Amino acid sequence: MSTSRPTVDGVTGSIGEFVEGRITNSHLALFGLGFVGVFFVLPILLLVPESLAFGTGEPLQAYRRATRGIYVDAFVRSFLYGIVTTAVTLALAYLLSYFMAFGTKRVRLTMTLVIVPLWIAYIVRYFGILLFLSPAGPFADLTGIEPSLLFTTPAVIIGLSNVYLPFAVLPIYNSLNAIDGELISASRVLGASQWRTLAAVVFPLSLPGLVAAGLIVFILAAGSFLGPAVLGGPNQTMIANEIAGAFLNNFNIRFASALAVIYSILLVGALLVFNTVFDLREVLGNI
Amino acid sequence: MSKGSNYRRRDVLTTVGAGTLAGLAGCLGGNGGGNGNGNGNGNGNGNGNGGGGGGELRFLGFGGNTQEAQMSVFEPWAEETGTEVSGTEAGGTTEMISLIKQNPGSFDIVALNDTGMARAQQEDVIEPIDLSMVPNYEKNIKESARSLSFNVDGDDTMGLIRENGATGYAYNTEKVDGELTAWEDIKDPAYEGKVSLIDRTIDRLSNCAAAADLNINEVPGDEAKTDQMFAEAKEQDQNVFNYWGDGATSIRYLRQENAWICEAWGGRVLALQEEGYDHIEYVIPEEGAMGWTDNLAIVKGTESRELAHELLNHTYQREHLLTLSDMMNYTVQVKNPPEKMTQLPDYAPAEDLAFRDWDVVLPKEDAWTDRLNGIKQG
Repeated sequence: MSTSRPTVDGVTGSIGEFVEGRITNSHLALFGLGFVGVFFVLPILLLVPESLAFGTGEPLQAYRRATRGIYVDAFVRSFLYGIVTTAVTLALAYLLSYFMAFGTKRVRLTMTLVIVPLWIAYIVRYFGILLFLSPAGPFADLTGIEPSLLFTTPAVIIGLSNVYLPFAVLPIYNSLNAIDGELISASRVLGASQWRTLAAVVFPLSLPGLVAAGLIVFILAAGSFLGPAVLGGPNQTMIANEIAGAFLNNFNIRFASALAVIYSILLVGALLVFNTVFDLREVLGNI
Repeated sequence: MSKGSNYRRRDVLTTVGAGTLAGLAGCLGGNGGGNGNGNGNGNGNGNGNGGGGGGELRFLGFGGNTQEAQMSVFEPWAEETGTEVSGTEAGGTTEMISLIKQNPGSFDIVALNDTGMARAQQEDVIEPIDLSMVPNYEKNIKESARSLSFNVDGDDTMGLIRENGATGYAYNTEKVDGELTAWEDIKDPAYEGKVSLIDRTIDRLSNCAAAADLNINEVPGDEAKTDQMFAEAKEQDQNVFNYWGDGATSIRYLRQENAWICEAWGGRVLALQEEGYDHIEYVIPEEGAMGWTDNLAIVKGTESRELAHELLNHTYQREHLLTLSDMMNYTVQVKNPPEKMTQLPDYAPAEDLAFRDWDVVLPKEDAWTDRLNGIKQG
């Protein structure tokens, strides 16, 4: 160990010297924007002409179809499930993060338990819940009770919350962990109760982590495909399932593109509204 | 700017950074699967075979045991001719056609179901087969199976039927009282929340048409028959807890007892019974059931057209066709079928089966999908 360290330092030092002056902040920004542009913005933009189908006999037909009841329901359901999943996940994540930040000395072990599920594919985790709660699964075997939870909205919300919990725990824990212990001590010394300290000191200071976690979980949950596909029924169909169905079952690329474009616009719009109403810059600490 | 605000900014940036990192980690590690489609059966990997030096053929097929069966039939030819035959699996017809369109010149032979044949012709990704170079097809396959509408285009033969089956339903005899024999039986209120049906519009409605004593090919353009078919779909929907998109899910529902009754493919149910689930029974309902086929076609623009024909001719030798049937648990429409094949759960000679005319049915798919989705989510 002690012999490899100077070597690593030497290599990083050499790289640093080489890079210094050659790569500016503009280069870094360009790389980031280029990556997002090529792999996110460009593919989405390519869907626009595909969905509009100008030059065919029925331009905008896919958009007209997308405004029919069942697809509007799927959009609404996606956002509702996103909101509910976010609320449930944040509540669970806050409790877990608070415990990790203030309630235990075994932070590394607890953090490992939070992180390890991220290494397991989503589909395996969803199937785990499905098999566990199935009539021939271990829960029914052990208790003799056949739960009627599967293929319902609560099953989907539980599945999504379970899968996205680590994404919320990490930023919230980071926020809570960064709170200066002196501030909490001062609050208690000045006579505030534990609850008042939590409400007036800890919670406001952890808000940036909470908002960051909320945004991540909401975006992931609202666009989820596997959760409703494995744990939901026909009444839990979300927009990603409709898009997949249009493409995979009906080979209707135009309609699938139209749904994807509408969803992207709605999602960006929702984030803009959120930003306008709640002022993300202020909440996130005037970034 | 105060020192305090600097700290806050750093904290926030660290927080967002940690969240982003976590998000990226999830994105990279989280997409472990999805839902397959097509009539592919079981799980497994197709592999490349062959000697080398005699050219190369690239086959695109469904995954699972259909691919294994097909590759095992290709293998002796590859060894004999020194041609390398490589297999690629796709999750379903849409993926296959997309792969062909996005990778021109990358595939020579493709296996497509009947829907896929219709779509492949629409998308112009397959080319006519010269039957004079595949004499075994005419020699060994029944005439009634060689003229299916989705495999011909005018005077051209676009595809060769490989195996076929029907989509009936399976039920758990330990959960269901008595014998089920008809589509009518699955509407019994006793099975509320215990039925799963197929999640493909035309396949689902084909069975609804059969249950309503209609021919799906005569429904488009006839308002009364359309309403009758959808009324049947609504009645069958009453007991449904979910619709399945891929065959593996139908079998999982039966195995885990999520479903007592599940629309299913006979070959898959037979494989399940062979695993020890002999309390699962398969039924071709007395009102009739939708027939389907998997077919072989030559990909447009192949540079190995002659080799592809040679390989097809090899595949359609009787012994190889029987191997395919044995390994897939589905009917191959050979002349004088052996008794073992006639014992398969959904065996029927082609002349007794009704297949979809995709030229008639496919234009209705979008409208019918919307209407059926309304019933499913109603």
